[in-house]
Amino acid sequence: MTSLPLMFGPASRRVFGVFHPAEADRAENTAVLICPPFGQEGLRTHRFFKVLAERLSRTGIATLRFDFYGSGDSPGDESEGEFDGWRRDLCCAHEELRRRAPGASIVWIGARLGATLAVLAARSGRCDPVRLVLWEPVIDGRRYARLLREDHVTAIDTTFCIPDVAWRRSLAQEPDALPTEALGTSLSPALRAQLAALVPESLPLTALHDTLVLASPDEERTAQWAADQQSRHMPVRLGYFKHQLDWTSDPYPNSAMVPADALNRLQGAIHE
Amino acid sequence: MNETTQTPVRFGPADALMGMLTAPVQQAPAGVACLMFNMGANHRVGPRRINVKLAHMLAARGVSSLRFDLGGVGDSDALDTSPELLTRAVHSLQAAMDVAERMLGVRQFAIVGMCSGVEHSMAAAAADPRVVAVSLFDGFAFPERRARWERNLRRALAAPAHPSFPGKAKRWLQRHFLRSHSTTPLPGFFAEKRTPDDNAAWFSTTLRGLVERKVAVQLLYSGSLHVCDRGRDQLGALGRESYTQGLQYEFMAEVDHTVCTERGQQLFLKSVGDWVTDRCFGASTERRSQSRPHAGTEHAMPTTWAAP
Repeated sequence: MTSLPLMFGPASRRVFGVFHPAEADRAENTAVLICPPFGQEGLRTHRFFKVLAERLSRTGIATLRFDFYGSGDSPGDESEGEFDGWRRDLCCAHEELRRRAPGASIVWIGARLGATLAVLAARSGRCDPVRLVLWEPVIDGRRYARLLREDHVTAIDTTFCIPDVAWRRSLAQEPDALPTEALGTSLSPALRAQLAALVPESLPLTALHDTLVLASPDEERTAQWAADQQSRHMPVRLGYFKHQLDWTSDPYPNSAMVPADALNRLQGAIHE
Repeated sequence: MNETTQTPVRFGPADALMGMLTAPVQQAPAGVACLMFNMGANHRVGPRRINVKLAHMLAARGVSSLRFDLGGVGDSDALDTSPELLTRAVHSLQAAMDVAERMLGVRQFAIVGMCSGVEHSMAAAAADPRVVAVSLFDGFAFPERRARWERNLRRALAAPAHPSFPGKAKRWLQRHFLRSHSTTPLPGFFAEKRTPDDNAAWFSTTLRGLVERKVAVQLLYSGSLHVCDRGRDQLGALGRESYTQGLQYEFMAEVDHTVCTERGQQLFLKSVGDWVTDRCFGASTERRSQSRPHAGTEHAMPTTWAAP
């Protein structure tokens, strides 16, 4: 079934989305909202989530993909990117999906910073997802910013035959500095401050919905965070999951864009 | 972005293609609109979202644009209009012109093509008289012996200190000596179908045809792939042909192939944005100064300008 590109949200802050209606003869009582990652990770996973949405749609699950304001195909400048606005975008997307799939229970699938924003938005109480599927959520903003910086420097080293060593030198001299840009995306002052303040303790889950956390087996901090939430009696489960998707690389032929194991894992996560 | 409207569209055969129209609302739009599309497997927003940034910049100057996915790429469904990828790309570009013509009322187009999009842009321009300008980034390059020597020498001198050197050297050895399955392209996949000579002949013939039809051409080359340039080096012998003398040529030393840095993006946007704006409004200086005070009329670029 043909997907529908659309704009939604308040006039002053429209965002772009693509709605994949459920195939009529198989329609389920579930709908999925996909919360994409930030910056290059979001661009890198565009195709992955498009294919996932098509698969879900074919199995009777209406799905909405969208781009946060100032990212992807949405209006807005990257300099306006920050958590509070993005959290509101996510709730607008939830309402849009509810309008297009009335009566369906809505599951949020969030990846990386999109998963973090899903936790923050669900906690606000403005929308009512029945389940969060959090794929490698960012729970430590400084660590995430450092990773983006390292990948940025690696990208510069790789792309330029004669790279500007100032990038690598700056990383060595100030390893904990929050970057103003990473992999072609600007980080606003507000976003940098929010990343600096983002720690596992600032992301408590609520009991309003189920949560499934998908993390790499070597991500001990994420496992610890999930365990902490369980000890608070929150309905959360942890699933270990390794995949071949490189979050920040360019879409080169030798880098998997839509790894089948990841597709299958996320598709299964809707109901498990 | 209050001064622009953004309208997602589905178009083309069976509505297979998806794109985003960006148009100014507070001023009369230019008579020429800009088309942007995929670079490789990146979806229509372009590498590092550069197409969106360019679309916003152009709309603020009064230029409408359509960024879209070719059939089978990004959000667009595959077209079955031809077995040839290049022909299908031309069909996608022509469908984009059709929908932009209907929705924007423009009849002429400037196309921005990056990397793999260069060949598609040139082929569409050759096939369709509605194309009046093409901006081509990191497309065909034919450096001659002196330019190749200088490039390779600079690379070699920088290699020992290059952080990526061990990995690149390993991959080079694997490619050239081991011939392992992982480094040898499968027949028909990721493999050049045309020889370098065929490429040069196609580029030369197509470019000459565009110039004779008075299609404006901008040729841009990144510093990450080509390292250095002493004046139209990437055109090789074609740079001495009379029909290439009127083309705008720029080597952008600080810009990389996927515009990964903010500085590189600024340089790219200024160069392409100014050039496309000029082509869309016509290159009259009087018109520029009267109607578009923000459009750059100076090119204070810290990069090498090789155009005469």
